[in-house]
Amino acid sequence: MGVKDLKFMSDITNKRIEFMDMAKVIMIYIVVLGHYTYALGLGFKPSSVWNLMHIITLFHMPFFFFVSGLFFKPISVKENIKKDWARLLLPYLIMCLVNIMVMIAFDFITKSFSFSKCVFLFYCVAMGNDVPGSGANWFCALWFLYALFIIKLLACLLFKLKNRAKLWLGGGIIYLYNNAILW
Amino acid sequence: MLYCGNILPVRIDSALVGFIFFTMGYLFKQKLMKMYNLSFQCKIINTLLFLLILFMAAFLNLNFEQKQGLSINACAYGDYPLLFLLSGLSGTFIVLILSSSFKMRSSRIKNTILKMSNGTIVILGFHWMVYKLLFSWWLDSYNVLVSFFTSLLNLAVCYFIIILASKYCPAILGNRRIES
Repeated sequence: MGVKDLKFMSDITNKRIEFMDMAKVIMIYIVVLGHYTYALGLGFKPSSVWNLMHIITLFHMPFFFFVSGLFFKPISVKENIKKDWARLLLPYLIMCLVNIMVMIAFDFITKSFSFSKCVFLFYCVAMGNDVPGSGANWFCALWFLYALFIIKLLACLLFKLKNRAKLWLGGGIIYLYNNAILW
Repeated sequence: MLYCGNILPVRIDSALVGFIFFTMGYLFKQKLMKMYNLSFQCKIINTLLFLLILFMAAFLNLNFEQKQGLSINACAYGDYPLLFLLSGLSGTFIVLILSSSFKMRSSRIKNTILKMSNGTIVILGFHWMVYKLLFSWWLDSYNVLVSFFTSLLNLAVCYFIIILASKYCPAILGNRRIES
């Protein structure tokens, strides 16, 4: 491989990183936009802004799961837990805590603080915001980190068996369908 | 509209559905990287095609008359869950194709984009708080342009939070470096 080829490969790699960075920034803007009505507590009425929210929620989180899969490299479960503790769970816990502290301060100022609400918030953190009524929490969007931790753990267990990855993809689609049919 | 509801605890439902998109990203890695080398005309055609698929899937599967939209978070996938998968993938490919068409020349913009890209985790964690503290007490507009502008402001505020976090609490960034 000549010098020109190496430079070309390096350029392509650099450009790929830039293009993925741009995609992530566009998408996180779309996520922020998609939460506009929910975060502001706007009542529902059929309008273009609500239609936009509905369309955005179709693909905003699938994109981030897809991109996480793009860059995923199967490693041992133990290594994965150690790595993702620092990259996913610790930021999740810190940001949830910061949000809870600010929410509590806000409640004190607006004189709507209650101890049971405080306990509920910590319960939501532990459950990954998978609790009825947790949609109004300021840190509800962080469910993604919690879910991604579980996904990467599962992927480390399954993807080492290359052909099985496709099998589990099929299994996932079946689960999605059955999940819908059960209701 | 069909609403699945949560059957399993601790986000396992959402994780299993997210796992489908995660696996698709993992399996399509090599093919996707060729997308960068497509001609500009091909990219435009592909974008329009995926836009068409996204809107068709949305109109067939979504009920615009209800507040509850479709999302992995809410475990709501519509009457045709496979259309939900299709719309998720279409939207993903649209953004990937469009972003591969940008050519950033300014190093300042590149650095800003890089910082925001590595700090998306912070934006995810704090954008709701920024909405609540800065906008919710006075803004109640249903105007689409206002929503675009407000979201942009929100992102700008979160950018400063990223800079502060990188200096004083890098653990929030998952120890990701935000400088090139």
